[in-house]
Amino acid sequence: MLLYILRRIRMMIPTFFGIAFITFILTRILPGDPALMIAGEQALPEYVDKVRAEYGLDQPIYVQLWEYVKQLASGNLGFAWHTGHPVIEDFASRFPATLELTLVSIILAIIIAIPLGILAAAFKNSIFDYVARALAFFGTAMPIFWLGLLLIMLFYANLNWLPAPSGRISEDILPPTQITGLYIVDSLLSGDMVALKDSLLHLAMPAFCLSLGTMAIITKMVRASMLEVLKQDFIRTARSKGIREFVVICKHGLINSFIPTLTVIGLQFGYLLGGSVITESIFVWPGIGSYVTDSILVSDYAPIQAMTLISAVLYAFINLFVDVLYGVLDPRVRYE
Amino acid sequence: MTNLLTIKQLAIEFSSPTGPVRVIENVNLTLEAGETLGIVGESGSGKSVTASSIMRLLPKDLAEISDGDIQLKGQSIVKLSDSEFRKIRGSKISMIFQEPMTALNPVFKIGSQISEMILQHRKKSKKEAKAEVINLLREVGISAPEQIVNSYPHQLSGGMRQRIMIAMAIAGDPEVLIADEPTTALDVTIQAQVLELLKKIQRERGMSIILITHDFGVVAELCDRVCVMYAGQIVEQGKVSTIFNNPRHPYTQGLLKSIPQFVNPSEELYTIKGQVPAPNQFPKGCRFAPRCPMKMEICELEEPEMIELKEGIACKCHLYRGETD
Amino acid sequence: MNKRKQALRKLMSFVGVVIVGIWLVLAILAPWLAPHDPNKIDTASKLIPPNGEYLFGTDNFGRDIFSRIIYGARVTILSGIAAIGIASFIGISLGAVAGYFGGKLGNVIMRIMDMLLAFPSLILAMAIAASIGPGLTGALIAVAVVSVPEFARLMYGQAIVIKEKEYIEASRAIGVSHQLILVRHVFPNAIAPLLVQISLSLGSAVLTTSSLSFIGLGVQPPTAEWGSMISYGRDYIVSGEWWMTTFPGLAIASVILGFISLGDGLSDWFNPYGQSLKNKLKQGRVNMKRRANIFILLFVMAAGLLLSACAENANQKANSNTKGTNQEGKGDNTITIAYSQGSGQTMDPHEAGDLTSASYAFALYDQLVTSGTEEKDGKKVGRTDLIKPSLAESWEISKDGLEYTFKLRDDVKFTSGKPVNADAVLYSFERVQTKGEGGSLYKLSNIKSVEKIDDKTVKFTLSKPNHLFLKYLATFTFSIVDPSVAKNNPDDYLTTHSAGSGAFKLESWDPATGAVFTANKNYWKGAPKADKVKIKYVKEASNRELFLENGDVDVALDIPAKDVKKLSAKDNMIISSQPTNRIVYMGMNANFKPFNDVKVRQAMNYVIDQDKIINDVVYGQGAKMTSSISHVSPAHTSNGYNYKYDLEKAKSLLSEAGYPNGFEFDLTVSSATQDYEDIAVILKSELEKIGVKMNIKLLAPAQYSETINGKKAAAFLGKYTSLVNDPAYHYGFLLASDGASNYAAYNSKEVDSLLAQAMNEQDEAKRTAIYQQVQQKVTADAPWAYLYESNLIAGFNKDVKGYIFYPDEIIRFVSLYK
Repeated sequence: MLLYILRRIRMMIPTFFGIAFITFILTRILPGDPALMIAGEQALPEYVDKVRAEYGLDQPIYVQLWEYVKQLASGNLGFAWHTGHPVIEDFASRFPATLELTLVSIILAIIIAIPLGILAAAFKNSIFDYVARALAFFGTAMPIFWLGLLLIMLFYANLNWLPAPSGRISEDILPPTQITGLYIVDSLLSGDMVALKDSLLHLAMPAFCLSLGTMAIITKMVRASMLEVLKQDFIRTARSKGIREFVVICKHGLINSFIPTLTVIGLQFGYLLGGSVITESIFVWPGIGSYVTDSILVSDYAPIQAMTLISAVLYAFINLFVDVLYGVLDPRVRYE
Repeated sequence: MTNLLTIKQLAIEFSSPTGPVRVIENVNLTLEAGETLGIVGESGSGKSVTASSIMRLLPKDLAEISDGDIQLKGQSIVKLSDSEFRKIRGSKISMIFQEPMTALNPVFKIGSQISEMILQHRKKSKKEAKAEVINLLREVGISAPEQIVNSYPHQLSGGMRQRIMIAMAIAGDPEVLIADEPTTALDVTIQAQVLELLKKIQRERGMSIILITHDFGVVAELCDRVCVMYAGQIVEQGKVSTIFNNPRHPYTQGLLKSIPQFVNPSEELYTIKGQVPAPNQFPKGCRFAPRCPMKMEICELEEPEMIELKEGIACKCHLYRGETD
Repeated sequence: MNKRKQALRKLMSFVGVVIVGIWLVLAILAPWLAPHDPNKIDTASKLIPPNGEYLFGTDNFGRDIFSRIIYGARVTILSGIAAIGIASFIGISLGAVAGYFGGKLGNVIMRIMDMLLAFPSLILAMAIAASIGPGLTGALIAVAVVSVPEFARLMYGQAIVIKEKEYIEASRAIGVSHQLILVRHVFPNAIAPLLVQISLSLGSAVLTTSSLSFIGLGVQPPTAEWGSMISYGRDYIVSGEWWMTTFPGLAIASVILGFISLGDGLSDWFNPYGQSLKNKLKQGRVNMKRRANIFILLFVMAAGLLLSACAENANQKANSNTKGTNQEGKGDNTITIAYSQGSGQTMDPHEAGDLTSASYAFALYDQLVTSGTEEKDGKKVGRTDLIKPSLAESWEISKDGLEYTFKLRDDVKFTSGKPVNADAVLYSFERVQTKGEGGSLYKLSNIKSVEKIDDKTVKFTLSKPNHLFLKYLATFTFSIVDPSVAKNNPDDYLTTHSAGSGAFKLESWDPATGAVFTANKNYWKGAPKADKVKIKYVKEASNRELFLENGDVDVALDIPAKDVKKLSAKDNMIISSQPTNRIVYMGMNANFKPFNDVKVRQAMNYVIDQDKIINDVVYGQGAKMTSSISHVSPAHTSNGYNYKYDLEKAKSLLSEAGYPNGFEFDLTVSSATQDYEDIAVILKSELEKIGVKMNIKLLAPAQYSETINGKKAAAFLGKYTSLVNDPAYHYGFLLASDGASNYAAYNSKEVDSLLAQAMNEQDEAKRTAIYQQVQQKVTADAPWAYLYESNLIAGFNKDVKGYIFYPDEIIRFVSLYK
């Protein structure tokens, strides 16, 4: 198993180089002189030049590429002039917010989608089936930004059930003592129920918004693969053993249908990474997504580069993880 | 001898675009303790449906028992609730299927799949169940049960898997074992082994077996009595030896004639003309009439009765009208 | 597959075809089907809810949303088709080649595809669109690029399988060429899955395009596009104009649904899988299923409408829901301010270059001198043209204006406890030279040397007289920092920590969310009345307003002009709208025809309806711009400004200049602020009336900066707020021929010599007269068309007192309290 993982990682390395190269090219063709932006509107030309030299922006492209690669190798993701911090610091400070949002979204999606998909497959044409199919439709076609705005309109502006879309916690409540950076975890660990409740309320809308698309796809997948699985012979065998139907479906059926579902879940991370950008923008969530959107709008390319690179690498690793998990669940795959 | 299993006037309907269709009709048969009953017929004759209905494994939203009764030891099992029936399924009546390659769950180890059966029906602890599994595997002739217990289905051959299926089926110590074409998908040599195994188990455990097959050779090997089904009905039933020596129904005769004999090389193979009708296209009168070489006028008008003949044979054919035991 | 399922799938794909068909028809026949002109601006009918005439209501420019949606279909769908068309062509070719010919080439191609697929598609699309710049082209290319890999993969898979088939071998054996094989055998077999993929990709493309436009990377104004319509409408959600966001969203969702249904339907039509002999229909269930699925679709759409219709009452509801201003823990006197422009770049005053960082500097540090205040209408107002003592209690200026000697106060200490003395001043001025922003201003000040005379006395020697010097000293750049802290810590320590003598200390700073300042109880001017000032970064104006209403913040900066009227009516808050130094103008570069002719430039000034702009764009929260410098500046005069809104005069000037039929030009606009896009849209429609065609070129801020600085724009929308409220500073940057911000490349020898004269003139009255001459000359030369002067609008909870407005737009929160 370990060998398999190592082999896979080795195969990914050229891909990583390719990714780094692509991101570099992309952002170097960004028009606009960043030196001007960094130096500021009312700076004199000499100081703009000084800034340019300082950032190495006056070097030929291949030199810049080499510098970039060296930088990456030493773990330096560049400097974001629009915040005034190294990109890696900005990422580090914002990462927990995005992580929490993404995790909650995917957990929410899974918690709802899997049981719903199973029920839809087990009780065809029942209310569950209708709901599942409506969800699958609804969810894949909804633009996130529209859904987010609708949610805000309804739950905040109109009903006032949920707090304002701004950040992870209300103005007047102290965030819980920082242990992991995830407010839910931290508040549980420190027993801070006020913060817990508030954080959950703030997470409600953005997490739902982000999770809907994933929920829809996972439901579709679970339902479809469960339907396939339930047609299989070994299900009939299981039934013939006199086991409760519930056990037949959940024990025998679920694991077998989980395998293709897992692949889909892995792929969904890509969607979530992209979707978090928009969701964070709408809900003013202080995470990496909104950071990157800001960077794009002011043409600060170091964060854009870093984000593209990191998300590609992350995505690759998640898919590797899914493949390995695949092997854990399905013994037929292991012995390759 | 007491009747272990009795099927009376069983009829099963399936749903279709044009309305419900009777797939099997007027099926009556009995199974006695310790005997092996064969059900023979071509594809589409309704034999698998009959077997599945005993186990209530028919797809619920598509098929239902529209008439008749199935009784186990005098008690109707058709009317039982799902949870009550589950006590019977696997423990009193068990089933093995045609495709051993796909009948086992690929992600669970063999040992756990068999244990599941034991734990479901017999009051044993996990440890005891494990030991029992090893015994069962030995009983079905698997030589290294301790290894097999930790293997996965895809690591084993078809013959092994079928043995394991058998082990699983008898794990609950059933009284009736239904075997739906258990050897059709296996090599000839393995076939023989599996049949031997079934015989042995039956002897040792005193089980009754219902054997579904299209292969008369298998019937000859294993069965005491046989039913011949055609187009959803039983057309002839009785002792195997009697039927083999003297088949009464034209269909049975045709079937037996169709078996290649390899006696006379230049002789053409015999076939029964025509095809089995689809369930929604059963002809009026005798269903075999369109293909019957001995067709009479009345055959197309009136459906024949099941006529009890001498020597314990029943035959559903106008030819024997008037002859009763 | 059983018949019932078949019928169902047929139905769904039928529905899909219908939806896509309807939208296609709308898109293609838009000009004939749209009831109104989608770009017709009619501010009298702005923000009307849906009614008979305007089916979907109107937007903030009075444009009919229904028509805009129909035209939007063109952009979205047709560009989607174009993008996917390109993508499929490229992808299919690549995949076919890679799969059929295989080998190293095939490997490389597929590896590249894998790499592209390694990126989450929206992020990659954003990066590509950002690189190319805002506009439809960028979005199109982005969508195409992210769609190519799927097609390539699909075709590759097909090609590989078909390649192995025997009939291919047979064809090869009889000598059929590769190309022919590809065309005759490989493609036709792959058509089925390809069609399905195309359909699904089209749905994706629509989603991606509208997402990109929503962020601001897509289509330029005033073109109607669904994603950008939702983005515009976002500002209006809370005020209740729900129709601006709802309908475009429904449009997007329905198109995507249509494509997905179509794709699913095609997929099943080509590939009915799973023949189960025993599965047959149950009678009577068929019709119910058909109906049920239509209901699902309709329900989904109705739900969307319902949800947003609920929001119609948003305003009233929110109004009646003012939470108390005090939750637990607010016993101490804390002021919470919502900032609008992000976190700022630094806490280091010598490096600060933006308004936010400047406000930090003023809170944490003192300067030698400071701006004065005056009473106006019963309120204190800051006067950046008046200089008052601060750290220096008095000063002397030598007769030749070259030496300034300052006497420092005795009693001032840094928060570290160390005294503010001459050493500190010397250190600060040494340090400021080394920083980018600071260095610039240092140079502008003409400082030759800074000497310590004694512990409390410092002498500045200038290389040339500079009557702006004192005003420079009052800016945040020349803050005095604590050497004991700065020297003993790494160079970037001050970026995130405070080391000053000011009214506040920095307690914490999280660039993602906010900063906290605690009062310096030992502040030499007297401790601030508030114990703490909390700053929250709230980028969305609607959120800032909401927080202010609910009492979550006490002060909200940068309230959009459109909300002033509505918010002023609320009784728990006060809206302050004051004129600043900020001018907004259209610059015209005389190096580009036809702006080389002064008549043309003057004609532009006659097209500007300043009243209308102030009314429509800033809802009255602005002032007319009658000179090249704001009316708040000293020496302002409107003499010579004889322009007014007169289209006839503009036309006749153009004819005189030789353009009786108008002309065409590009207007470069920065995408940073919504207002500028709005002005551009209004300008465009006015210019059309006299036959001038103006193309709006929207550029991302960095691109805009580069173009402007390179003086490469024929015409552009510009804004400027002078940091130092003085015409010398203002003209020095903007209109002197060597001015660093003279983006219109204005070059007038007369103005240059007047400016030099004024620089040397010590007498203020005489200086003022010279500057007035400058203004008249500039107005006559018309390098700019004056648009308006904008107000600084901020909202305050009614309990907050002590706000002092400064025309340099930088907030000093030291005086705030509750």
